[in-house]
Amino acid sequence: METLSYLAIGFEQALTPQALLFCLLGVSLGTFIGVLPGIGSLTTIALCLPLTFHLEPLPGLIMLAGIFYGAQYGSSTASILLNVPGSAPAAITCLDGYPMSQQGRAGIALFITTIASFIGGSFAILLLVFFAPILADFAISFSAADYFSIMILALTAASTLSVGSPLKGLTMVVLGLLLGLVGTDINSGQFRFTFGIPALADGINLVALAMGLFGVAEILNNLSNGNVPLASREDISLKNMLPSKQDWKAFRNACLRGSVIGSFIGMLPGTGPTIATFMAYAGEKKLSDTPEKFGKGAIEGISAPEAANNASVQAAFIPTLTLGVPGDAIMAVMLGGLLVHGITPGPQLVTTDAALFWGVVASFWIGNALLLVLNLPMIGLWVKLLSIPYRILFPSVLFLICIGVYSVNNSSVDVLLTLGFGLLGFFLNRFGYPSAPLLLGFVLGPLIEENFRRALVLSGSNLATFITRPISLVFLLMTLALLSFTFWRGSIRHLNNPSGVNP
Amino acid sequence: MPPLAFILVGLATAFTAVTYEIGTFTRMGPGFVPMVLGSILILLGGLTLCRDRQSEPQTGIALRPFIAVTTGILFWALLVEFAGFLPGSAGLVLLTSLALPHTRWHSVLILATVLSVAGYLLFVLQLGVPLNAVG
Repeated sequence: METLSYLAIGFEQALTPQALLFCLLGVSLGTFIGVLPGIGSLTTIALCLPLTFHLEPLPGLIMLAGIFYGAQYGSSTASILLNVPGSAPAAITCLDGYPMSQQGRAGIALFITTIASFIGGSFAILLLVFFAPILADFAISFSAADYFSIMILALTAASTLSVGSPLKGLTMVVLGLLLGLVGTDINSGQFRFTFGIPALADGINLVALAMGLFGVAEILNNLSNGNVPLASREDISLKNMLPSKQDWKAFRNACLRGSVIGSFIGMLPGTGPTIATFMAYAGEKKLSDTPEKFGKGAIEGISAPEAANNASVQAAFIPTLTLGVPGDAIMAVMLGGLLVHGITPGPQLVTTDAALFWGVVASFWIGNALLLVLNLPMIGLWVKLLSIPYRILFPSVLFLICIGVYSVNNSSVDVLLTLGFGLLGFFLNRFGYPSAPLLLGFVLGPLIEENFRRALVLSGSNLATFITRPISLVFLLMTLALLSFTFWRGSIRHLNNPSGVNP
Repeated sequence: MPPLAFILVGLATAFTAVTYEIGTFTRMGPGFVPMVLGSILILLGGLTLCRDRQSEPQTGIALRPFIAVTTGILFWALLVEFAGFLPGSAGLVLLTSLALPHTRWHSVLILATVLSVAGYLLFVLQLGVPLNAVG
């Protein structure tokens, strides 16, 4: 019951005209950029992050979150109509969404994915409402040693459970941790790896890193592959979107299963929507009586992954907000955005900053409802966006990246860094090294070092503290199990990335 | 190629860490964590080198978009504070547009004008990014 009264406070916060406006702005912007082909949700978030710096914490956070889940709704549109996934999770939607579009059932596919996204998202928000306070209560007793261990687990999970070689994932995590060290050491005041560049004294700018690794690298990748997304001239209206009774039947259970899988995966540290959608798709195919239909336009093949995608996106806020441990690279960027606003996520956020926390949670619901309206009656408008040719799109995005990065610190050095990271990400992606673990390592690195030191101070310089504290021990054992499992079984090769998009 | 580069980066990190104070395991100096991470990077690079002998990129790298995008961003970053927002941004759009073959010059020129003017109105006048229009 206590939760309900908190939720009421949340809605009070989220229903003010200002909050509503920024929620609408966020989800519209998210959908807008999400629909544009070849621009992933991480680029979207990084692109919009500087815009929210000017706002108060609550509207800023509401808008940022809205951009994030709005982009998830939008990204399925390009997958279905053009076979161009905006992000790795959306690649799964291509598998059955694009065949549906070729069969002239694009409208139905868009309708189904929107409803599935809404149901998946709502399911996970429900879990968030009831689980986050419990988890926060539990986590309030976490010590520095426990935080250290859970972050190590998150990094290990993010690098070994992602698509591709776990060894390469781990390498990228370590590289990210190293980049996180750049700047002034908080304990000694020593400059580390600043190479005499004053702009690096405060560390590498997160926006510059994210824009480079994802925005610039993504564009270079598209241009270099020559698979420049084509413009679409599809005409979709609400009339040709309604699914048949048979479609509904296939949709219902798949959507529920997807929601459950997505929520569960999203809550775990270090696992993001990519894994959730892969698992939901694989699960549906295994359960189905007609697995041969998959890849040829099966309703289940788009319902379950889309529900799982949005469920995991919303559920990922649980560890990020209550523990301060982001599950994947996008959440890491969100965490960075929170820190800029002076908000330190953690158990105390749920209790001491209750209005902020519950305001954001309430805004999720409002945002999802707004997205339903934005995506069903107004779908024709978004589809028109797909007729923007790529040769106009990519210079515009590069321009926005440059001015966006510059505006954070008014620094040209940051723009040069973005270019550098863009080239780095592009080359490393070519050799099969994923960018997401690097970003996660970068954000978690300073937190890991700080908690490691604090744990040693608290225990009187006794290293055993990491294994004598039960919570810490459990996380470390899980990390060990994960590592041995990964290298025992070899890499998870069967999770082949069907579209070649780097998560 | 990347595993070797990682080993080199690891070595460079470890050697730089020595110049900071390393300290002891229970009383760490600022060089401690870089030392550990540098060593892990060398180890991971070595492991990758042994397990995975593939040294070619998985897909080729086209030179044209690479050069166009690089020079475009360099142009903006190096010139925007001296030449101003409008020429910097227009130059960025013109240069990066060369990434695709068959450049349609009239539409590129329109795009460059629209983006730099609209960007100036939004970012410089509205959001207060301290840049001059020209010079």
